[in-house]
Amino acid sequence: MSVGYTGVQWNRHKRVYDVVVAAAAALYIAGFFAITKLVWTGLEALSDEIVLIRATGSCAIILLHVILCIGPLARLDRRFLPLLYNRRHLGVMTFLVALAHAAAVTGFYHGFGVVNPLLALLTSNTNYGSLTAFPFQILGLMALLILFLMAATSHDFWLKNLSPGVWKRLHMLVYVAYALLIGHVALGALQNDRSPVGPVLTFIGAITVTSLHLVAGSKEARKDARGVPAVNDAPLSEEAWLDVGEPADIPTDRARTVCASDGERIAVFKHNGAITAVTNVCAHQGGPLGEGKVIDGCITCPWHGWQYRPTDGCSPPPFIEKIATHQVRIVAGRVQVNARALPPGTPTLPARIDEAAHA
Amino acid sequence: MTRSHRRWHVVAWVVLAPLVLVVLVAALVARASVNSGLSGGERQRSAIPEGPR
Repeated sequence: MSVGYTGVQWNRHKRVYDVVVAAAAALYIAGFFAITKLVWTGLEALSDEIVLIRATGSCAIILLHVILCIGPLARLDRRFLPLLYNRRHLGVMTFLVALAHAAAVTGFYHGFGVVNPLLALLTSNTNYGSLTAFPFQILGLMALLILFLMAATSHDFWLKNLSPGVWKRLHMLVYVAYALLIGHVALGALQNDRSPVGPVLTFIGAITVTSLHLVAGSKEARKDARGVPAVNDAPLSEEAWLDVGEPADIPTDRARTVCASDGERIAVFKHNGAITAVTNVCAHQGGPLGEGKVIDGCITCPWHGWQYRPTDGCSPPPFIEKIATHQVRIVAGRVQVNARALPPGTPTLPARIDEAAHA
Repeated sequence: MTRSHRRWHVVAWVVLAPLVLVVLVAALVARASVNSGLSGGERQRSAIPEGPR
């Protein structure tokens, strides 16, 4: 979270993460080189340039698969949530490795003629009607442009300037980049590979990524479909109160999430013997606050650790972010939350569990 | 995430998942290297017309 523009807010955790990821990528590329040189010898030996192209290309596609699996895995199992924390760093690393691949390819295949290498890349093959001779490089270039756009806007500065909604939509272009890259690999590298290893691995990767997203999406859709009707039959725009359950149903320092019939979710927290409610959507990247917990008296987003006070939805000073709050009450031993969101940062009265028990 | 974002995620993958798999399967079935019995480099070399060097 930031109170203004600063360069990347590095901390020890981020530095260690970046060093580990860079070392893993370097190790993969070095290992790829070593194995290729050992296995393909004599007449089958490949030049260093070709091996570099294959090593960086496969490294970038593996990184993208990892990135795309983190989101749905975190939705399906809480144990994967920590992987979300620095996912953007992994994205920037993917772009850099893909850029190295693109530079090596352009230089090696198009850099020795009289035509501008980029122009040669775009115009040397126009067999768009052929599957086996398709100009797959175009697909890679389009994917690289998307990855660049995402890497360039990965900083919170852009997140704040573009607004979280626009930023999120922009970064969903990674799915388009993924489809383009699968086309790039299938119509390019795999066409020239007689070994079954590449096709099998690509197929397993595509099945894994698409299945995880479809399963996670289906789980979220089922949650949305279970919208809670108002206990007093009032429309959501007015004083509609939703049943949350008994206070004991809400784990201490955690939340129970209820879904209003309009599909928006409300996180109802229990902390210090009181019940409070806020929107389930974090002001940062829309993280699910209801899956976070109360740390140091503040609701903490499970995605990137942004914090808000339970009673007014304001971030603790010096931070200035605010989220919408909801009124809560306890009626006949049941927690109820008002479906109408109050303006971000509006203080609310917590419902005291002990007072309700003695009422 | 808001409901709108969740919906976009689902729509994106419902469209992209079959598209990705169809392109992948079609490309693998049509694989030039398997169908011609030649590797990419060999196909490239065989495509060079014979003539005086």
